[in-house]
Amino acid sequence: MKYQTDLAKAKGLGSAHSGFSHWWLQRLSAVLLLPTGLYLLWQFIALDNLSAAVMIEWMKSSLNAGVLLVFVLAAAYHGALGLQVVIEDYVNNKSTMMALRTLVYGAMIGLIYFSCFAVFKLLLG
Amino acid sequence: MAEFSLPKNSKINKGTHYPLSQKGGDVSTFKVYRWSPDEGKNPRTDTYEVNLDNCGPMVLDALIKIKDEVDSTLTFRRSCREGICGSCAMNINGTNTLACTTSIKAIKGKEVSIYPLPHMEVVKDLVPDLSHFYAQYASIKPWLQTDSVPLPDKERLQSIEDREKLDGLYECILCACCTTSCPSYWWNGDRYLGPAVLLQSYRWLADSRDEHTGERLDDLEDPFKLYRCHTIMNCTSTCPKGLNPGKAIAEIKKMIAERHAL
Repeated sequence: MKYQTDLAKAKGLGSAHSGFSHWWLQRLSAVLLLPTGLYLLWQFIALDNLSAAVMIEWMKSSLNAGVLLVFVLAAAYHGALGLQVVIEDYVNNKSTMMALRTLVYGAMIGLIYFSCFAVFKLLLG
Repeated sequence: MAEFSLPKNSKINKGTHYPLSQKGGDVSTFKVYRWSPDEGKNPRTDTYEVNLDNCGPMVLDALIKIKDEVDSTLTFRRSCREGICGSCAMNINGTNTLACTTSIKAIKGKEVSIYPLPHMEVVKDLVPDLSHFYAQYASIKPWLQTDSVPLPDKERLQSIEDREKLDGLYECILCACCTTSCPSYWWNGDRYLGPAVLLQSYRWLADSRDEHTGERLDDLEDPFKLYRCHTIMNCTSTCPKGLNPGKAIAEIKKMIAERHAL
C-alpha cells in the first residue's frame, strides 16, 4: 500500500515539457500528404496502365520521383506518429509499450530506407 | 491494456421492479443503476415506475420522488436543483448530463436509464468517486497568480474586451460530465487532465490579470497532461452548460505553438 495524497497522485512526476513537436509534426506530415497524394492520384489516373514498364518510365521523371519520395517520407512518419499515440493510449504495460514503440519506429526507418533505395534506383537507372 | 469489457464483479444484473400501486396516469419507467459496497454483490439495475402527473418535470424530481416514496436507500448527489452546483451529474439515457436540468418529457421513449458518470470508481449507486478529478483541478492552481504587488487601494484592472475573453470559460461548474465522457480520460485518466480541468486551465491562461502564463504552459506541455486530447469532442457535445472544452484545449495548444515561434 502506498500512502500518497490525491494531489501527489495527480501531480505524479510532473510535466515532461514535451509533446508539442509530436503534435506539430503530425499535422505537418498530414498537410504534406494532401498535395502529394492528390498529385500521385492524378498522375496514376492519367497513365495508360499501371504495368511495371509504364511505372518505371514514369519514375524516371525527377518531379514524379521527388513527389513520391516526399509522400513516402510523410506517410511513414505520419503513420509512426499515429501508431505511437495508439500504443500509448491502449497499452498500459510499460515494457510492452516500449517494445511496440521501438518496433513501429524500426518499421518506419526500414520503410523509408527501402523506399528511398527503390526511388533512387529507378530514377538513376 | 485498455479494458473493453467490464470486470467480472462489475457485470450488471437485473434488479427489483417497483410497480406503481395505483395504475393510470402518465407513467414513466426509470431504470436505475444500484450498487452498495456493503452488500458485496454485483451491481444491478432496479426499475421504478413513476406517475408523472404528481411528479416534478425533471429527472432529479423523479429520483427525489423515488427516494422519498419508494426506496429510501437510493443514493445520489444533489443540491441546487437549478444547474449551478453540478452535484447531480449522471449518465441519463447514454448522455452525461445534469439530472436537475434534464426534462423527463424531453426524453424519447417511456423508459429512462440512469447510471453514474462512466469509468469512475463508484462510491454507491449514482455517486462516483471524484477525488482524483478534484486533485487534478487543484494541481493546475486555479487561482489568480501574480508577482507584482497591487496598490493597496486599487483593484487589478481589466478591460471590457479582456473580461469578455473569460466568457464561455468561467461558467464551468466542474460537474465532470465532459471529463467522464472522454475516451482519452477513460484510458489515461491517471495522467491526462481531461477537458474540464484543461478548460479551467485556459480560464486562467486567458485572464489578462494573471502573471504566471509561462509557468502554467510549462506545467501543461506534456504528452499526457495536455496532448492526450485527440479532439474527439465528446466533451463539447455533452456539456450541460453548453460550453466548448474542445476549443479551450485547442487554444492552449495554440498558445504553446506560439511560444515555439509558430
